[in-house]
Amino acid sequence: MTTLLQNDHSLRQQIYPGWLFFFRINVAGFALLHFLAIQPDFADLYSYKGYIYPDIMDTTTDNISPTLVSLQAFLQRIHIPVAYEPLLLFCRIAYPLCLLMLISGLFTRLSAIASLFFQLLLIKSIHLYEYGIDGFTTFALFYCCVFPVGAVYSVDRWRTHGKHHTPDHLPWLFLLRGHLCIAYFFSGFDKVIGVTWRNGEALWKALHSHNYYSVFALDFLVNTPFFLLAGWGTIILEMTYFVFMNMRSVRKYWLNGIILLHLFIAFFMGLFFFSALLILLNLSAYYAPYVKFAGVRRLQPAT
Amino acid sequence: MLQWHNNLFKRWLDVKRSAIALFKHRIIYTWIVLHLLFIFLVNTVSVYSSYKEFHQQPVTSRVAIAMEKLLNARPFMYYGRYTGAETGYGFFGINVRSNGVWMGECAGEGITADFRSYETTLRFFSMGNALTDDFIKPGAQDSVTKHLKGDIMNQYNQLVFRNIAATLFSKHHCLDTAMQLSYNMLDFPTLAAVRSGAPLRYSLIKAISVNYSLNVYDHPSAKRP
Repeated sequence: MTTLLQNDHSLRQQIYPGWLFFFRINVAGFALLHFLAIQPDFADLYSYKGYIYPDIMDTTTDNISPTLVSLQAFLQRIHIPVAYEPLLLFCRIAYPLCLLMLISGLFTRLSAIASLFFQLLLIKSIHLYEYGIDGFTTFALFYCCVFPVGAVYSVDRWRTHGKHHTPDHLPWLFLLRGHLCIAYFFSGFDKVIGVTWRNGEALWKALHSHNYYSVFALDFLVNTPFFLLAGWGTIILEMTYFVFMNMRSVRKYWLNGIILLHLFIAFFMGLFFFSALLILLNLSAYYAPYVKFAGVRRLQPAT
Repeated sequence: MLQWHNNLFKRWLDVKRSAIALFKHRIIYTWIVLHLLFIFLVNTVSVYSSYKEFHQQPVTSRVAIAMEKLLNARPFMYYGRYTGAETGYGFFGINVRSNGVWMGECAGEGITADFRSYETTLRFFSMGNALTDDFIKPGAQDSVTKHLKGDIMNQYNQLVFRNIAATLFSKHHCLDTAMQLSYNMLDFPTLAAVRSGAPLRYSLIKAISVNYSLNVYDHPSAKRP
C-alpha cells in the first residue's frame, strides 16, 4: 500500500494532510453524538435502577480494562472512597467534555487519550449491551491518540501561532487504509463461507429481524433475484475492497458502492450510527486526503 | 561548559537530522506492519473459529490453537483492548444471528422494556441476541468472556433474566406479587419457504422463561415449611 500511496503522488493526485482534521472532528463528533443518543435511558443502562445491575454485569468482565465497578473498588483501595453514582456522573460529564476538546483540537493528544479511556470504561461497564460499532469507535479514538490529528485546524495550532510543519501523515493514512482493507476483507470472507449469504437467505433474515428498523419492507421483491444479487454484491464489494479502493481509476466507483451499502444498512436495517461511522472512516481514508483544505496551504513544508 | 555541551548537541542533531528522521520513519512503519498483522491474525482466528463452530466441528488446526493461545496471552489482550485491534469484523457472517423478543406478564397484563431512545433499544436487543446464542449454542457463550464457560454461565444468564424481571416488575408498578418474563425466539419463514407459498408471518418460540416473585416460597428451589 505504501507503493500505492506513492503511485498516487506520481500520478499527480496530491495527498493533503487535511484528512487528519476531517478524521478528528468526525470521529470525535460521532462518538459525542453516539453517547448523547443513549442519554434519555442512561440510568436504565448504567445505574442500579437499570435492567442489569452494574455489579451483576461486572461479574463476567475480563478485567483487561477497568469498569465503573472495578474503578470504584480501586479508588476505595487507595483510600478515595467514592460512591457509584457520583463516579458515574463524573464519567458521564467528563467523556463528552474530552470529546469536545478533541473536536476543537485543544490539548489534542491528551484529550484523545482521555476520550479513549472513558469510551472503554463506559462501554466495558455495560459489556452485555455492546455491539459491533463499539470496537470501531475504540480503534478510531485510538488512532486520534496516535495520528498527528491536532496539526491541522486546531486550537493547539492556533495557540502556537501556526508554527507547525506539514505533519508526516502518509504512514498514518497507510495504517488507516490497511485497517479498513483488513476489516472489509474479513467481513466479506466471513459471509462467503456461509451458504446463506450465497443464496440470499442471510440478507432476507437480516431484513426480517424485528429489532431492526426499515424505511419500508422489501417483501415485494421476494420473487426477484434481488436478495441473491444484493448478497453477492455485498460479498464482492467487501472482499475486493482492498484491491479496488487502492486503484485510482476505480476508487470513486468503489467508494460510492461502499457508501451505498452503508446507506442501505442504515435505512433498511436501522443501524444508523454503525453506517455513519463506517461512511466517515471511508471518507477519511479515501476521499478527504485528496481535498485541499484552506488551512493546509498555510502549513510550512517539513524540513 | 553547559553552553558548550548544548552547542555540541545541537550540532550533532543538525548533522544527524536526516538519519533520525529515517530511523523514526522505520520505527513507525515497523509498528504499523506489526499492528496490521495483529489485526489480520485476530480476524483469521475469529473466522476459523466461527466456521468450525457453525459446522459444529472441534477446532483441530494446531496453528489456529497456537494462534488463539498467543492472542489470549495477557499482553496481547491488553494491546488489543486499548488499540481497538481485538475486534473481529465478521459482521452478520457466517449466518445472520437469530433474535427474539422479551415478553413480561404481570397480573394478566403484558409488559415490555420500553426505552426513549432507539439506540438503547438496539443495545437491549443486541444483549438479547447474544443471550439467545448462548441458549442455542451452550458451548459458545457469545455474550460473556471465555474464562467462565459452562454451567456457571447458564446460572449467570438466569441471574441476568431475573434481574431484568425484577426491574420490569418495579418499573411497571406491578399489582401482583409475581411476574413472568420470557425470551421468545422469532421465527420468520425463509426466502425459499415464502417462494413456495409460506405466509409472511412471524411466530414466536419460547426459549426461556423465569418467574419473579416477592414471595420467597414461590421460588422452585425454596421448601415450604
